Amino acid sequence: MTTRFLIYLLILLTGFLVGLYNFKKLSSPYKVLTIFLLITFISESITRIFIKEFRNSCPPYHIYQPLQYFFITTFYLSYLKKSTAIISWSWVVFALFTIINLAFFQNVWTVPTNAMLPANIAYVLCALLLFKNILQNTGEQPLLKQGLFWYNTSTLVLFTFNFFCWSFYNVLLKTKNSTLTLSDITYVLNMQYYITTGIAIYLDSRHKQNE
Amino acid sequence: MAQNETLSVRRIPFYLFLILLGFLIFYVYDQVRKKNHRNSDPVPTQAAPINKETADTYITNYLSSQDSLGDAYKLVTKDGKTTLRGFWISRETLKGLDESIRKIDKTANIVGYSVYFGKTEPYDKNKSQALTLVIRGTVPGKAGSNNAKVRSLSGGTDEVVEDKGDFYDSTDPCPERCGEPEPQDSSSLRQQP
Repeated sequence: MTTRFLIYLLILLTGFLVGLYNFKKLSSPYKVLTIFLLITFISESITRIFIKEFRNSCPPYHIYQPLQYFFITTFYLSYLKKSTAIISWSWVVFALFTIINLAFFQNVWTVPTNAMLPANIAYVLCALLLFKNILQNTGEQPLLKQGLFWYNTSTLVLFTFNFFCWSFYNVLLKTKNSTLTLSDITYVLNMQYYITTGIAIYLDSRHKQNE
Repeated sequence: MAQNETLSVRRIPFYLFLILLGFLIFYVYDQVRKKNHRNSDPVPTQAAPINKETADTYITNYLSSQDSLGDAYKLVTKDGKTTLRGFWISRETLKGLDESIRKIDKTANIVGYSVYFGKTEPYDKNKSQALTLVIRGTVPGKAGSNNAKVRSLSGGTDEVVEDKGDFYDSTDPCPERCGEPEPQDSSSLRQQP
């Protein structure tokens, strides 16, 4: 395990522990994020076991992808009430798509980029819709002190980059081009995303406490 | 009533999602289990441990048969005079062979190594029987696929194992790199005219 990965796991664990410590004070979307951090921590830890046993970390990502989709969209579901039915049914569609992709296109030993791409589009759309809501309903609290604003910005940045990154990833691997730079940028953006998620959870707990 | 409808709209997809997730987990588990099973399934071989006496006998038999041959037919080391006893293969070589296969297929089931005799120079240029080895890693053959009958270096075909990855040569003949001394019987035999 590299030091970088250890730091990544520590970020996930810290974010989860912050959420767990303040679990009762958190509003329901942030409780979802806390559980999401735990799921991500477990999934990422399992990938190391797979690397050791099979020299391939892809199988856990095939299960993690629909879980990630479920948790992130459930978070947005709390703020995008008008899209409840669409988001709810998209869980089923996405799970079906993941199974079809796994069975016919990208086997368990391949990075499930086909599943990642529509998921990334969905996250970006959710983030944009939420920005629209935030701008339309600006509350008393300054925008920069809102955990939701930071989390949403982070989601928009990470998944916009991820969409372009995973679009080219398998092609670059096939043509034996180095994917290291793309991986490095994704790594840093992922860390930034989970740090922001932890901060957003903390800010929500403080916000509820002040209320 | 309206609230109940909203709840059901959220619940039905949620339960369907859980069912599909369960199926997905089982499918991934099944695929990984199959791969794991394949990886732990060695290709049958007749190779088995032998005791030192048997090993010494085999080596002595070989060396005495070499001694009975004329100089033109003897297997020799690069100097063209010393009888070739064998080769030493470093662990780094085997690791390198493994890694070259892993570059092609990260989850490849490396079941063994093919070792072929080779000669660095053409016979018309160097008539001595100074041999080298050409080594390559092997994975199970893919019966039924396009690679079912893979041509080996010797020209034969094999459905059980398939060579894969880089080729390595052996540059360490015995002598000089010998881990095991020459059997006593053989040396006494070879000293006789």
